[in-house]
Amino acid sequence: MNPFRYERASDAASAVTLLAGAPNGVFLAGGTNLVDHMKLGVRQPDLLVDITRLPYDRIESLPGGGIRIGAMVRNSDLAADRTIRAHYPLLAQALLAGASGQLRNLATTGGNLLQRTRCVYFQDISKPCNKRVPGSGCSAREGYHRELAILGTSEACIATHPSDMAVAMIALDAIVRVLGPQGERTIPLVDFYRLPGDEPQRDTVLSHGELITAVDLPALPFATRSHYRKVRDRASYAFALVSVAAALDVADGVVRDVRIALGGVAPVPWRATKAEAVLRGKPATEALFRQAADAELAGAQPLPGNAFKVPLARSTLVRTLLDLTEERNRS
Amino acid sequence: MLHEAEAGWPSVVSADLTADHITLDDDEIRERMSGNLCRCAAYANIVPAIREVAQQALRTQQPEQEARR
Repeated sequence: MNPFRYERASDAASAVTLLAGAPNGVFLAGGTNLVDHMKLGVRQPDLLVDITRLPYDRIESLPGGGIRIGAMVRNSDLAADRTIRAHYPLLAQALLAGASGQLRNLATTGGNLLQRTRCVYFQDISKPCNKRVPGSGCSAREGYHRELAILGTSEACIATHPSDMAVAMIALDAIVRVLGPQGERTIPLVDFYRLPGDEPQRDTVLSHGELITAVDLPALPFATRSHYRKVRDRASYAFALVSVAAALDVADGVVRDVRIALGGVAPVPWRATKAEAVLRGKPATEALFRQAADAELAGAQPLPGNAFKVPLARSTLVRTLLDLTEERNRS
Repeated sequence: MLHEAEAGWPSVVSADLTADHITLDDDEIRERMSGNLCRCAAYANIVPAIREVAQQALRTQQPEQEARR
């Protein structure tokens, strides 16, 4: 048992100030990942700043279109929200595909973005892991890596990001709103996550003491036709081996616009810009979808234990795009 | 879990995310019980038992709604 201090923040400014003065402190929201890490010894904070009473629990429409999701909105409430279900179905589906009902009731929007990898070596303090202890080495590369990444990896780290929600949000061009000791700033979600490089311990570009206050989703009318497809070892309560979040706008058989992100394949929720570029302006055919998937996966660097993810990601992406095209043809 | 279905909250197996009413078929019940019950040796009659309770709840609700008209 490691002793720690606990403070409940009454407002955002004092939460930020409290943490700025505590280099080994952390914010506590739903606690569904952090508390596990404290039990396992993966993290040993000396201060927990409880932010669950901060007034960021609302989902609001933005004046110019789009929606603002408070950082403290619980995953279950976000998935059940009527606007999200109608306008951003891929996000509702991604949330509902994650964890279990009990965890979704506790987990927050901000906390979900900041989840750490479920790589077994990161969570086992008896094993080397560059993400947990920089410079200690990577146990996964030569060891068990079936669930780990095929894109965006480095010598130092091949971990995958575990979030389903973030994959949908990155496809939707979400923007993260942050409050820090230096004031407020906004970060596009696609720039929020870092590839591991030789600093795998840093998952995001956030500085110590910066607090996520909200996530903005811009209006994307064609996202009413969107889907999140998750492939996993069992039908429920498991992390993705591969997932695809996609929104597709087809008119007269031609792809007008498209958003695609992949989960379970990279250290970050992976925006599939190469696949999107292949698709835009071309006839929406299975052959084109295959070409797009191949373009995105051309840079994959699989290891023996996770090479299956390359064809799995290709098939899952093609199937998701076909489903979205067929759905349009039916209506 | 029955209240969530009653409120129209979808699950990951719901085909229509915007439907007002959730029909608790076997797939919905299994998905919604995930995390509530251990699944390694799931007793086969759990699903029929939940279906029965959900239908009883519907039956007791409907006469009340009729009476209010």
